[in-house]
Amino acid sequence: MSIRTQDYQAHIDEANCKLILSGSLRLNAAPEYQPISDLMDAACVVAQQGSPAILTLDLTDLRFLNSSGINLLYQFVLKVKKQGGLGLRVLGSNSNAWQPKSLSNMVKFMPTLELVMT
Amino acid sequence: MIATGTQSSISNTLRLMAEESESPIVQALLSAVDETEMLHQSVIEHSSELENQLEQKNRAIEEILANMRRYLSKSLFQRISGGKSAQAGSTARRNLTVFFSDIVGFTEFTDMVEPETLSLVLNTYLGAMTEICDRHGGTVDKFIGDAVMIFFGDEEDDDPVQSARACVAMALEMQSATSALQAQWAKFGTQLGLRVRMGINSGYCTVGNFGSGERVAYTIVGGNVNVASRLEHRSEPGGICISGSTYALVRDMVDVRPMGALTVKGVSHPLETFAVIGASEITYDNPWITVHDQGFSVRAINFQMGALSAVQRQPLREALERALSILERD
Repeated sequence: MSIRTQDYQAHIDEANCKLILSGSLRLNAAPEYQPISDLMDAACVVAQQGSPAILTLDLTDLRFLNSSGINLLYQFVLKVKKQGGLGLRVLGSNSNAWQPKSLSNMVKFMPTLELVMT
Repeated sequence: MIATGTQSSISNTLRLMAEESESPIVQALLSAVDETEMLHQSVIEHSSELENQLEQKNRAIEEILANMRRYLSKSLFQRISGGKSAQAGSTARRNLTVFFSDIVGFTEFTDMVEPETLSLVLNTYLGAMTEICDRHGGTVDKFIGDAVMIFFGDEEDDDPVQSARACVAMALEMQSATSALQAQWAKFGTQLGLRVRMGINSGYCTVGNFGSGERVAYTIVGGNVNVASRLEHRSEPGGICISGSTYALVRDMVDVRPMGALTVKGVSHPLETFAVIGASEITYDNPWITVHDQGFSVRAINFQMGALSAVQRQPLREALERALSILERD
């Protein structure tokens, strides 16, 4: 399952229980982010079959994310924490200037989240 | 309306009351409020980070633009920074007035002086010429050593008559400015007799971006460009040689002397040429004086030696001379 546009790509790597977001995500508001939100929910379903049940969120090549996008990610982390039963690993890159600060804030929402910055 | 501080104090009081409550609903609500606050705060931090990065990038772009401005003519800079195409191949035919100039004997001079003196002389000269060109709305196409190539009329809505008039007015002002520079250079000990030859021609040329995908130059090409260059070589030292096509557009603003016909390769008929003797009247804008039917007004002058460069003093001198000539009329 994947979404591909000129600006960004969202793709589920089922074999590795991984959701990969890349490119530049600057959609206007929550309704425009709905297809990505649906894809994230689908990735959770895939990851819950794994053992251990861990979903990897690969944001290494996500160069830009606007505030509506980060809101979606934070809400997603909160939802996963509340539902329980699924671990989260987030991959980021220090070369994307926005990531070090904004991704480390994810740990506040879910202290068990594993953040791997490269 | 409740002041922010009061709101905060009410919110704190409510929170203290809620924290004392043992109701699971109240506790769940408190937890949801905490999460929402944290979410709100984190999104704001993310936005601030993006805004700060944007500001840094803007500053970097401004620095690049400031550097770029020094290398490009005013009109070309505006063209590029205004988002107009800089792709090779974007060209148009326009009725332009083209100007060429060079300093007589400059090559010999370069062999005689130290590089520092050469740099000083050339930079003050080119700086002064560029400033005059910008003021008249021309585009400096290029400098080749001491030679300068300028054109007028490349914008779609430019009037060819106005372009020719602006170019000739510029050339006249440049010739006056060189005498002021001459005095300045004498102070540095240079004995260069600064006499500049100028050539001007008007006609259709192709203007636009020429070059490769990697590097383009905004320039002009065509037979009329070559004619302007030939006129410059034909000019007397210290003079301005214009073609018949330019003269037809500026007839009422300059006095001229015919210089005979010029045969140019590729042009079937000989071209008429004229030497500009001087302005019939001061036609370029002089900020110091306004002349009208009943007399003139001179701007208040608070002159301090050193505050104006030799080139900047030139229009003031001309304005005062003009005022005197009007006063001396019968």
